[in-house]
Amino acid sequence: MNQWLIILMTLSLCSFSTSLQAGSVQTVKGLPQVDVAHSVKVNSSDVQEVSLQELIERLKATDAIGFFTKLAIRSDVLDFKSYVRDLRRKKILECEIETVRSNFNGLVLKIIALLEKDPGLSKIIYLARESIFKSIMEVSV
Amino acid sequence: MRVLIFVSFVLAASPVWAVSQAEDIATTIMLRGYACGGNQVSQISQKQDAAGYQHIRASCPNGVRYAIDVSPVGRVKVRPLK
Repeated sequence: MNQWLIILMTLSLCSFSTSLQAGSVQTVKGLPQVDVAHSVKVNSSDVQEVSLQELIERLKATDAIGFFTKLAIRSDVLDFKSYVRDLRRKKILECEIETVRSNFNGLVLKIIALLEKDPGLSKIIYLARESIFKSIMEVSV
Repeated sequence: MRVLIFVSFVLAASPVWAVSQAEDIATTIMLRGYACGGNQVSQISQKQDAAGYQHIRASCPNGVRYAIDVSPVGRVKVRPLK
């Protein structure tokens, strides 16, 4: 009886152990190499439209990333928005649009890579990236 | 006996991919562009000061110890400790 109990507890602990090592970060910069164009095979008609607020709530609620990682992503997003605001204030936003777009793509790629364990949410973010970019570029009064 | 079996089933029902604090901190360090040498940190210490700042110290598998400072408004800063 004791042996069965030990086996049962061992199995439950094994299932609880982190399987994240299978998808562990490998590069020095810490992010797996993800080819966004191919890794997420999407059909836009399969994905219901979600508002930006719903997307934010889902990102906050996902278990695929931890608390401090979410804060770090939030810091990155706020820094990006601040960068866009500075460019707009200096009236050079249109001149720097390629740099802004490149930075945005890098940020989205980072988030998608972190959401490896939540493919549904990463798919939605990938599909909604144009809407997100437009909402950030919109002038806030 | 029944309690032990119940606890084991509860543990088994938990998400397999839930992120531990050690992995979370390691990911945060790497998000800031620092090498960590693995996907988990160790020797985690955490404290909060009177101003509401959280100060976390953790050691990466590559031997470097990092400081992660979280401001009251949620800004995260990472720096290596000497």
